[in-house]
Order: sequence, then structure tokens, then C-alpha cells
Amino acid sequence: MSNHNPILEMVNITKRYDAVNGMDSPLVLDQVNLSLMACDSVAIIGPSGCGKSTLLNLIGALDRPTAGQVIIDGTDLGTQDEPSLAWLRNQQIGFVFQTHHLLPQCTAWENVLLPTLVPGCRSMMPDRVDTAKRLLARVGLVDHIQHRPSQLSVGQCQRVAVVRALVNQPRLLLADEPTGALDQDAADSLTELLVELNHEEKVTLVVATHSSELAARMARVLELKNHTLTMIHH
Amino acid sequence: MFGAAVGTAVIVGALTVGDSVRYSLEKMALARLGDIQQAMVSNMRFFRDVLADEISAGVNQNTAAVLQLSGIASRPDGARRANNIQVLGVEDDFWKLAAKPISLPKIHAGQIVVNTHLSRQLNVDVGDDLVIRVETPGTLPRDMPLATTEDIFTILRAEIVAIADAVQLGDFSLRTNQLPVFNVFVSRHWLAGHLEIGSKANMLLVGGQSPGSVGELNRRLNDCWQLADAELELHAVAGNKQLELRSRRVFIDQVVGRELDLRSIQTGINSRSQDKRTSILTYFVNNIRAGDRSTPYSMVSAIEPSWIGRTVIPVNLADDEIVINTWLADDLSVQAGDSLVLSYFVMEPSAQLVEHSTGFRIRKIIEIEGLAADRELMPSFPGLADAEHCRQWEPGIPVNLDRIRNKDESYWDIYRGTPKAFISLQAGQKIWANRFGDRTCIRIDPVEDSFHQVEQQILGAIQPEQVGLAFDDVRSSALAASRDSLDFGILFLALSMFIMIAAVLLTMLQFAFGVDQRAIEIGTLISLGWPVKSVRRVLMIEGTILAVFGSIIGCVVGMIYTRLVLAALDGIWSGAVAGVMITFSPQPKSWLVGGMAGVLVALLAMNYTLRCATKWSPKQLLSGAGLVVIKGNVKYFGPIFWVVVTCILASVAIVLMIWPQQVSSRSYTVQFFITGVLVLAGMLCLWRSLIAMTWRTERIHDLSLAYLALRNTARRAGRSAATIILLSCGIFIIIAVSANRLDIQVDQYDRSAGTGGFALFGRTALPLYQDLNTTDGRKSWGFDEQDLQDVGVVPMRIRHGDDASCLNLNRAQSPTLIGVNPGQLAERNAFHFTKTASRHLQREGWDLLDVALGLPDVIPAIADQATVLWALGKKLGDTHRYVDEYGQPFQVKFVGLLENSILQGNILISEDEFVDRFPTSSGYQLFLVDAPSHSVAVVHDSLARALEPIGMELSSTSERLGAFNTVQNTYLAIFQALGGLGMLLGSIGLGVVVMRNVLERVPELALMRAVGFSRCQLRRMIMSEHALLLVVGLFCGVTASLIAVIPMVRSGGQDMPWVLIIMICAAVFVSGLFWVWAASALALRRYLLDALRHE
Repeated sequence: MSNHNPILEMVNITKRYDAVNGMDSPLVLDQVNLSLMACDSVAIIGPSGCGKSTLLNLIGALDRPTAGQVIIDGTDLGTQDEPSLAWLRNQQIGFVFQTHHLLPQCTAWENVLLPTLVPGCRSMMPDRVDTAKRLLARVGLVDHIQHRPSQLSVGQCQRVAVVRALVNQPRLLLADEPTGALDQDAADSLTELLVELNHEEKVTLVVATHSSELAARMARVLELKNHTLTMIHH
Repeated sequence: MFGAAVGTAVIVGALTVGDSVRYSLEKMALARLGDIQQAMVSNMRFFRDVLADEISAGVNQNTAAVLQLSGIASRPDGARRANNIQVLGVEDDFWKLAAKPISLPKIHAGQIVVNTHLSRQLNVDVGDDLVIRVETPGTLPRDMPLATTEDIFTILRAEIVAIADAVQLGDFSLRTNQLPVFNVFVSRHWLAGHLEIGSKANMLLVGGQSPGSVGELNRRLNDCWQLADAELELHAVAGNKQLELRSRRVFIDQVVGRELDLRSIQTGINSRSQDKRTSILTYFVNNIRAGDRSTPYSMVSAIEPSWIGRTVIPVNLADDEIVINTWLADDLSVQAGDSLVLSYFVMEPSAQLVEHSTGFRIRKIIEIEGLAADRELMPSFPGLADAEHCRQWEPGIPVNLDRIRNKDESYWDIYRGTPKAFISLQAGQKIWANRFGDRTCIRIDPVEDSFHQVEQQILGAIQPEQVGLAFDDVRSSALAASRDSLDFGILFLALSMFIMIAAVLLTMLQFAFGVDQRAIEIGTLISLGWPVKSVRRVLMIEGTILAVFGSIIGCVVGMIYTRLVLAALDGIWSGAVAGVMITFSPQPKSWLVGGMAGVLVALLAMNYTLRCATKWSPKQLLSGAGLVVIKGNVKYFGPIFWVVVTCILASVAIVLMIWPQQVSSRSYTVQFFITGVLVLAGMLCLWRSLIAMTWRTERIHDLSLAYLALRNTARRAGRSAATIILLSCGIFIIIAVSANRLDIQVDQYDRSAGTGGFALFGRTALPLYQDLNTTDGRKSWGFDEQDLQDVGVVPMRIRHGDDASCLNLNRAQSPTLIGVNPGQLAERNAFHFTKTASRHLQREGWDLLDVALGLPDVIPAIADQATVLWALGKKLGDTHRYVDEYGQPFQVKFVGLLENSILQGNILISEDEFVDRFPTSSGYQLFLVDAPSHSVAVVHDSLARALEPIGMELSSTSERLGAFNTVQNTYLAIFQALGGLGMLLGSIGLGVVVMRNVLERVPELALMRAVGFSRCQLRRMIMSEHALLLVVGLFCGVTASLIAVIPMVRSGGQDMPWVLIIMICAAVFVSGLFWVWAASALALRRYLLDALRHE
């Protein structure tokens, strides 16, 4: 796929959740359109409950829109079955969440390699191992790879989560409130890391955040308001 | 709610099974007795039948005199036979004791009524003829010297005029046993006529709607009984100058003689003094020899040197002195001062007739006059007293009639049985006293007292119970036996242990699961300032409401469960209740107890779970399900530690497995469990080492999903280990139970086995008096000596009582007593003792029966351990009370317990003690037969054929043991089935474990979904993790039990129910897999997206 083509396209996305107790089904997103090119970085801001995570879930193929199309690197997610979407998530998309969600029973190294365990990835394992080593060195955790999450700080865990998200060299990195659970120093550090990796790894970065500092470091800032996206900074 | 419902159902079900069994036994007990409240049973002693009317008149109750004997019934064509039947001579008064008025035709001479069981057994109906063989009561107890063992039974042929069912007292029996009894009812007068015992009976039944007390009846008996009821008679002798007290049984019971002596000393049997009474013991001696001259077959009297005794013997006659009459002096050409030797037979306790000799010095020679000429001094020895000539003698001892000379015939013609010699009573009692008595008559001077007064004085001196006449409250005993019967409620609760455990675990898991789901809510309440106690209370109230509802449902399910169990007890599990038809009889009390217990169990489980849950901090609770904090590598011992522990355990297990070749089969069970537990523990250690290894191993290049699944099992190591332990222990116990099913085929000839190493167990309906180990004994029954080559027989005496084996569901009140010669079992080293009092009593094994315990009226006894522990609820060293034939209580003290044996259900005492306590229980009725393995069939046929007239029933000892084992094996089968059910139920718990595990890991799983794992892959991973636990649990349990069972299988002694084991394992595996799949599918579908939407 050419670098001139958008890596992500959202066309007239509408999302409603299921109606509860006979009430109208709540509208979360209404005719949202978004297009991102490779290596773009964009922050999505908005009040709690406005639908930022929903938007990221739709982008990350974790949820399906009520209407509209989500196209990632030319693939219309609406036409894909569940295994194909899972494979797409594995290969094209990386996730970082507010909580690191590292497996407590696994070491940092094992957690990083978790995405490579998906069936079909075995042949890429040597490359992925190299990538993992490189990235762990990059985030300064090369000495901590045998530590378990309980032996790492929250910030270190979140860095491991970032490496885990990038280990399969995805085209798209989705971060949902990545600094939300961190103190200021750790948040600043992670922000810096995300920005740097955006360039170094040539990955398109979409961050949903309340943090103005983090949003400000992105190339574009979009606000999700009244169920639709509005550009507030470019 | 489910847990409470299951718990309640199991408890209510089990208790209702117990209620139903108890109700059924009580119903059967009442059917056996009708309206009968008390009974007096005198066995082979007979009292006047009018005594029943005399008692009735005094207590205003219905009474019936019954003549009850053991017998054999057969069809005239011999096609069918029933041994050990109860022949009851009854009249109309008997039928009035039925619970409801019944209409049976009057039984005339030559007619009989049989009960339903017997009619079915013999396949006979009204109008058919039946041949009945009953023991003929002898004048003398058959074991007595001089008692004849000819004509020991009487054969009757009669037509069946009716068949009596249970309501018509057809199942009448005083024994507390639910097993069917075979009854034949005949006219008492007709039966007594055939037995030539006159108007006598040996059972007196009392009944009515307003029962009196036993004390009242015994007092009434004391008031109206007569000497004839004690088989005594008082009559005038010596031209009406004297009265003589005699016994129909020849020998006057020692207790009577003793009491009369005592009373005479205290008050005088007449108003003057003891000096007007003389006790005499006359005996038949084989030979009187002086030098080379001898006189055959003579009567010799031992006389008390008082009153008229002094007319024959000097007052100071020494024990080694004798007075002879002139005829004997002439015959032997002896004079005063010469010596002579008396030779006579005495009966050994083992019924062996042995000739003894005693020497005497002649003190005096007297004329044949006065008492010395009294031919009535000779008791009515059967075969002698009524003989016209000596050559017509037919005594019950070997007599060589060729030795009788003409002069002997002449003496008999003139003097009949007039004694030829006299010794002191003391000397006579030393050599001739036996268990039947120590005197043959008592002469009394009636000068001042009338016949009636003397009779009353004698009756006043002895108590009816001293001669075996006493009433028992048979109804209370029967009801107590059924009430105290084996508690099937508790039994089924125990057998349902696995279901109960599963129910408790389910309750705990479900509740914990509920608490997990509501962790945030609980955390919030605590954060808002709610005291932890209040939070707990709210949740407990909630749980209580659910538990109560569950309990109500459980009560209903419990009834269904009971019905199913009763159906099984009527079918595949009938061995557990010895074939008794159990009537469904739910009791409200059981509902209440079961319901409350179900709620209580659920509440305890919930309380425990809640206490654990509320120990979490509010922060942990508020964080939701992700409560697991796994620390670094410090949590486990290293793999080397676990491998070392495994090796140690395995080594000990291997040593134990090699060991059995040197020990007997009996220790297999203990060995099985120790080996099994060691292997199981070893395997669990191995599992821990694997986990530890997994935990410590850092996979750099070969990380895989399977490895991740394995690692995940270590995440909640405790929960994983608990799952494995529960599964493995469950399977282990089920297989252990299977492996320990009792089977003795291989050990049949092993002396230490439950068979005692004997080949056959025999039982006769009528006693056998001959010794089958001797040529004479075998000849008397026409055995072919060839057939019985190398055959040994251990005969045993029996005092019928309650069957205290596992085949009797009732609580045995007075178990059957067996008299055995301990030496015969000791020399064979037969049977194995599980416990003995050897250390205290300085004796081993069977010799313990000969120990003098040093306590009055306490005798040593040996019994099967199961009989003592379970049937009697006692232990080694405890005592059990009996009443002997003379109404004297005595205690048997358990000095040894036998391992599961063919003697189960009985209490064994030494033959010497037995015959002392029950002198009229003559002959042998139980036989342990040693036979070479190659000729068992020949020996069986030979014994069965020759002894058919006395109803010999023979069974292989292994069959007999097998019959007992069937009961235990059925319990084991029930345990297996219910255990399997519990395991299946427990496998639902595995599903709950999966749900909890998944719930705790929702964020992680959501993350894995996000990084590209499909739902299907995640489900596979979760299933792999938990299937691994399932497989490891089953594998550990099965492997441990199979390794432990190797010694048994190698010995060939066990027939493992492999199919059942495989089925149970497969069912548990499939069920577990299903619940894992269902739980993982449900959990993944429900929670995943919620976690990802979390902002």
C-alpha cells in the first residue's frame, strides 16, 4: 500500500449502544469522519463519556459501528469476519490502555512477546524477538526483562505495554488515556516516548486523552463533542 | 441456592432412607409378634401347658402355650426341602394373639398350617402333604452319659390346611431378624402326643392390648408354678414312708440341689432339720473289679450320710471307702478292707465318652435290705429302667451284653437296679457330677409335713428363673432391635459424603463467585463507612433467603432422591438391606433436620467465603475482579526441592510395594492407602515442581500459547492445586474403594483368611451327637471312610439367638452363642485376630477362651470384629450380658476380635463354659470342615447326603464369606456410585472455578483480544488451562491408585472393576470438560467488551 494512501479512514461513522429498559438507544458517534496518513499523530480529546474510547475501539476493530465504514490500510473492517479482524489487530494495530494490563504471571519479556503468540506469527518470531529487544532497550528496560509486573513501577509497566503494542510493528498505535494512571514525571516521560516512537517506528499514533500536555505533543488535536469530531488544532 | 438445595436433598434423602428402613423393620417386627408382648421360652425344658391358663387367670391377659421345636420340612417326594424351620405346636389360643382377628381353620391332628415363605420355598399349597422332621426331646439331654442318641427325631406327615401370611401371625418369631422365617403350625396336642411328652409346652406367650409388666408376670409365675414345670416330681417311696424328689431329666439340676441345701441350712426343708433329708446320686458303672474278678454293669449309689443315708453308709465314710452288698461281696469274693475299682463312663465336654476308673477300699459289707434294697434308687435311665432282662438293655453307652452272666440276670430279676455298692455323696459327686446335675434324687422324711407342704417348701426354695422359666419383654426387645438397627440415614449420609463435599464446595464457590462479582459494591459500601460486619450481615441475609429457598427445593428433591435410593435398594443394591423390601416412609422430623442442616451448611460455607472476601482492602475491592497480586520468585520452593520430595515419597512407596510379599493379604488395605497417599503426594509434588520450574524458567525464544496456559495455571497456584487435589483425591478414593472390595477366592485355604482355611461351613437343623473325626462317629452315619479321607471337622455347639452379622439389619439384642473347643482352632491357627487382649491375659489367639478372667460370671469370648463393633456397638474388653439356662446372668468379655470371617454374627465361647451355662443345648449344629481342595465336592456331597436326616446344609466357606462381603461390597458400590455422582457434581464446581478465574482476568483477556487473539483462541487457552488441571487431577488420582493397587492385583486377590473405574473417570472428564467449556464461553462472551470500554 502506498504511503500516499490514508492508513485509516472513517467514513460517516455512527455508533449507538443497545437500548436499555425501552429507552432510545444512546447515540455515541454521529456521522464521524476521519482520515489519517502514515506517521500521523492525532489526539482525541473530549469530556468523559463523550465516546473517545468507543471511537478507539471502532478504529481498533474491537467494536463495529452502527453505520459507516472503518477502513484500515485499504481494508474495510465491516467486510471482515472475526478471525480476520483479530489478525488485523495483531498485525496492523497496537494498543496502549490507561492500565497496562500486563499479565501478572509473566515476565516483562513474556508480556512483550504476548502478541507474537497468536497463531500465524510463529514464522515471524525471530524478527519479533529482535524488535522486542531493540524496543526494550529503546525504552530503557533492557535490564528489567525478567521482572514481573509486580517488580516494576507503574511507569515501567506502561513502557512495557508500549513495547508490547509495537512488537509486531503495527501501522497504527492506539493509546487510550496512556498517562491517565501515571504521575506527572512518568506521564511526561511516556508522552515523550510515544512522540519519539511515532517518528522512529513510523507508526500512526492515535491518542485519546484528557491530558492537554499529551494532546499538545500530537500533530493534530480533534475534539469529540456532540457525537462528532471537530478539529481544534493542526 | 443450588448448593443448599443439593445439600438439603442429600441430607433429607439419606435421613428418609433411614426412616424408611427403620419403619419397615418395625413393621416387620410387629408383624412377627402380632399382639404378643411377653414370652417365656424354656427351649428343651418343658412345663405344663395349663400353666398358660393359670398365668392368664392371674394377669387377665391372653396367653398361649406353644410347643416350639426346630425341624426340617420336605415334600413327600423329596423334591424340595427346607432346613431350620420352626415347628410350632399351637392351639386356638395362639391365634388370638394376632394383631387383628383372623380366621384360620382349626388345626386338627394330621393337619398343618404353613407360612407364606415356606409354601413358596417348598412350592406347596393347601391340600398338599408335607413331611416334618423334629427333634424328639429325650428323657435325658442327649449329651448325657446313658442318654440314647437313637431315635433322635420324630417324623410327622400332615396335610396343609391353610397358608398363613404375616398378618395371620404366619411369620411369628421371637428372634430379632428381618430374614424370612419358615414356620409350620401343628396341633400342640398332636405334636406332644407324637413326641410322648404329655401336655407340655416350652414357650408361653402373653399378649393383649393392655400389656402387663414382666415383673407382674414373673410374680404370677412364681405364685402358680408347680414342680412339674421344673421337670421335678415328688412322690412317695418306701411304702409311703418317704417322699422322693426326682427329675424327669434323671439328674436334678445343681442349682435346685444347691438351693435346697441352702434353704435347709437356713430354715430346714421341713420344720425340724436338714437331718431328715438325704441326697442320692446313683450311677451306672461298667465294671466293678477286685483283683482278677469283676462284676459287669451295676448301679452304685452315692449317698449323703444323713438321715436314712446312715442306714447304709457310716457317717464317717471316707471318700475312698465303699460299702458293698453281700451279693457283690460274694461275686467278687471280697471282704471288708479289700480294694476294688469302679470303671464308668463320663462324658467329656466335647461329647466324647471316656471310661474312668476309681479305686475304693471296702469299709463294710451290708445285707440287701432297707434302703440298700430299694430298687427305686436307680433313676429312670432310658433303655435300662424299663428292660425286663439285662439283655434288653439299650443304654446310650456302649454295652457288651456278652459280659452279662446268668447271675447278673438273676440279680436283675430279683433286685432290678438296686445298687450293689454305696459311696459317700461327696465322693460320688466328685466323679459323676456333670453339668446336668449332681444328684438323682432327694429323699425326704414327710412325717410331720404333708405332701403339699413339702412341695410348697421346695417350690419356695427355688425360683422359676433358676430353671430357665422367666418372662421376657419380647415386644420391647423387637422394637428396640428395629429402633437401634443399623442407621441407614447415617450410613447414606456417610456414603453421600462426596455429594455433600461437592455441595459445600459448590456453595462456597458460587458464593465466592457472587462476592467476586460484587467486589466493587462491597468495596464501595466499606469505603462509605459501612462496618464490615454490617456488609457481611446484609450479604448473609441475602444468602440465607436463597439458602432457605434452596433448602425447600432440596426437601422436594430429597424425596425424589429417596425414591431412587429405595428403588436401587430394591434392585441393584438389595445386598445392602439383605433383600428386605423397604417401604417409603418420610418423617417430618427428617425434613426439618435435613432442611435446617442444608441451610446451616450453606450458611457456614457462605460465612467462611464472606470472611475471606471481606479481608480484602476497599482499594482491592474497588479495583474489581483483578485482585491477584503475584509477587516475584519468592512464592515457591524451587523445582529441585519438589523433585527431592517426590523422590523420597516414591522411594518409600516402592519399598511398600515390595513389602507385601512378606505380609499377608490383610494388610493390603493399609498398604494400599499408605502407598497410594505417598504416590499421590509425590505426584502433586511433581506438579508443584513443574509449576515451580515453569515459574522460574525464562522463555526467550520458544514462548508458546501452551506454555502461557501452563503459566496461567500457576497464576492461582493454590486454587489450581486445590482443584487437582480434590479431583485426584476423589478419583483415588473411588478407585481405592473399588480395589478394596472384599474377595476371598484366592485366600480360601489360607488359615489366616476369613474362611479360617476351612473348605466348608455346615449347619444342621437338628443336633449331631457323634464325632465325625472318629471312625465310630462316621460309621454311625454310614459314611464311606474313603470319601472323608484327610477330612477334619471342627464341631461347634450353638445357642440360638439373634443374628448379629451384617445380614441382620436389626440391632442384635442377644447374639447367637457358639461353644467351640479352642484347641481345635488353635492347633490349626485358624482365622486372623485383629485385636486381642493377649498382653493382659498372657495367652494368644484361641487359647484366650480358656483364660480364667478371675471375675465371677465373666467368661472370655471371641467374635468377629464387625459383629462386636457394628452389630453390638462394643469393643475389645467390653462385655455383653447373657442369661444362662438357670436364669443366672453372666457376661461374655471380648478378649479377641476376628478379622472379617465366616463366624460373623456369632459370639464364640469355650465349649466347657458353654455346656456349663447351657447344659440342655445338646449336640453340635455348626461345623467347620477341612477338606483337601481336590475332594471338596466329594466331601460336600458325602456330608450332605449322609446327614440329610438332620438337615445338614453345607456351603463353601468362600461363598459364606462372600455373602457377608456382598453387604460390604454393596455399601462400597453405593459409595462408588454416590461418589461418582459427587464427582460429577464437583465437576460443575470446576466450571465455577473457570468463571472466577476468567472474571479475575477479564482485563488481561480483553487485552489479549486487543492484541489479536480471537475469542476462539482465548477460549481454547482457557480450556487448555483448566483441562490441564482436570487431566492432571485425574491422572494423579488414577496413577496413584493404580500404583498402590499393584500388590493386590499381583496377588491375584482382587477383581478390579475396571469398566466402572474407566466409566467414572470418563464421566468426570467429559463432565468437567463440558463445564469448563460452558463456563469459559459464557465468561468470555459476557465480560470482554465491558472491560475494553473502560475509560
